[in-house]
Amino acid sequence: MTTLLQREPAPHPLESASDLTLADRAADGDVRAFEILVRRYGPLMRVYASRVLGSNDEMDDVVQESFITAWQQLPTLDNGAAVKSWLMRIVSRKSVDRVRARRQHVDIDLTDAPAPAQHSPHRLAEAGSQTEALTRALADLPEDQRRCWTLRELAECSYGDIAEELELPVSTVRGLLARARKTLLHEMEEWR
Amino acid sequence: MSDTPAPDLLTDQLDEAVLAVPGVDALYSAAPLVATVIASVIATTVEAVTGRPRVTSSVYVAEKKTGLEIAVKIGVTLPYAATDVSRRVHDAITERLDQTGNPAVAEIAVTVARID
Amino acid sequence: MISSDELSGHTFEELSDYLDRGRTPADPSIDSSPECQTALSGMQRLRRTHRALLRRDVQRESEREESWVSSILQHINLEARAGRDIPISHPSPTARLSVTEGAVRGILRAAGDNVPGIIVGRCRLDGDVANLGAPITVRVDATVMEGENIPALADQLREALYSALHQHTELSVAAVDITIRDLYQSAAPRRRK
Repeated sequence: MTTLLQREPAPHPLESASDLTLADRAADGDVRAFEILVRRYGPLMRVYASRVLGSNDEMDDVVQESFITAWQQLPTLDNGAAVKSWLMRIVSRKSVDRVRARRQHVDIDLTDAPAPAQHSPHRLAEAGSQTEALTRALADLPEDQRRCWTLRELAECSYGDIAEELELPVSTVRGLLARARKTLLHEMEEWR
Repeated sequence: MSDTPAPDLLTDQLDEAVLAVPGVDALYSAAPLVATVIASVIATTVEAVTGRPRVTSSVYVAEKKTGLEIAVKIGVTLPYAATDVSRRVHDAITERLDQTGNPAVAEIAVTVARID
Repeated sequence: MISSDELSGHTFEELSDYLDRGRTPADPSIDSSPECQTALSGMQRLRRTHRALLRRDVQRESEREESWVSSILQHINLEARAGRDIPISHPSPTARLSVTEGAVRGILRAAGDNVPGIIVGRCRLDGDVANLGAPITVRVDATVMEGENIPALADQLREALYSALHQHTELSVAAVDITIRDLYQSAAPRRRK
C-alpha cells in the first residue's frame, strides 16, 4: 500500500516580501508583485468601500478602479513602504466620489447628514454583541466624522495624511476624530 | 507571380509566421495607441493544449507610399534571448512577404515588450 | 456621559489626541487623573472592538471567490511601464528591432529571483539607451535576507545581471551599481493543517 504525499505548492518568495519591495517592483512593472499587493490589501479595501458606500453594490467597481489608478500612479509614490495607507486613501476618495455622484440631484449638506443606514448590509434585526453595536453606531455617524475615523482606525493614516486627503486643517481632523470617538463611546456604553 | 494579399489576409499570415518562431509566447497589439481611459493590452498566447494560437491581437500592417509599414510587439519566453528572437521574427516576416508577392517594405519594427 | 468638566480640566479632544500620539510625551496631569484614564480606557476598548470587527469583515472578504483579482489584473495598463525602446541591430536597413526598458527591468528582477537570499527592487538604466554603444550604468536596489554574506551575494547578483543584460540586449554596460536597501527575514515555513 502506498501513501500519497501531497505537497503544498511552494509559496512564491515574493508573497512574504515587504510592502516596500512589492511597491517598488510593481512601480517598475512587475505584475506579479502588484497581484500580491492586490491580494494583500484588496479585502481591507473592499471592507472600507462597503462602509463608505453603505452597501456592497458598487464595492467591486470602486476597488477595481482604485487598483487601476494605483497601477498608473505607483511610480509617483515616494515611499513604497506607505503603500497601504496610500491605497486606502485612493479607495476612500473613489468611494466618496461614488456617494456624491448618487446624491448629485439631492441637496444635502454632507458635513452633517448621517449615513443612509437603511442601506447598510450590516444592519441586523437584533444587535447582540459589541461588534454589531459598533457597526450600527458607525453607520449612524455623520459622514465627515466617519471618514476621519475610518481613515485613522482602519487605514491607520496619520493626521497629516487625513488632513491632506479631506482638504481640512489638522485641527479640524483632530476635532472630528474626537467627536466621532465620543459619540461611538456613548453608543457603545449603552450595550454594556 | 502572385499578388500581395489584401492587408487583412496578410495580417493573418504574418501573425501565423510570427507565432511560429521559437521563443515567441505572446503577440501584443502593435497598433498605434488609441487614447482610452483604460488601455488594456490583450495578448495572443499559444495554447498549450492544442498548440494553436488563439489570435486576438495582430501584426500591424499599413500601406504607405514608400511601402509596407509593419509593426509587431511580442513576448519572449526564457531561456530564449530577446536579441535572437526579435531577429528571427523579423526574418520570418520578410520570408513570408517573399512568398506572397514580395511587396516593397518601408519598415519592419519588432518590439520585445516582455521576457518571462 | 462624559463631559469636559469631569476630565480634570482636559477636553475629550485633548485625550483623543493623546491616545493617537501613543501617550508620549507623557502628561502627568492626564496619567494621574482617574477620569482621564477612564475616558482613555474607553477609547482603547473601542479600538479593540473595532479591530475585532475589522478582522471578521476582512476575513469574510478574503474568503470570497477570486474573480475580482483577475478582473483587476486584466484592466491595468501594461503599456504604462514600457519605458524607452532599446535598439537591437539587424543588417537590413528597413529593420527596426528593439526591446523595451520595461522588459529589461523584468529580466533584471528575474535574474535576482534566481539568486537565493536577495530580492531585486527598482532598476534604472542610466544613459542614452537608444544609442547603440553608448555607455550605460545599471542601478539596482536590492534587499538581502538576514544573516547572508552581503558582499558575496551582491557579487553573485552582479554577475547574474551582467549575464541577463548580455543575453537580451546589446547595451554597452559600463557599470552595475547595487544598493542594498534593507534586510528581510526568511518567511516561516508554511505548516499543513
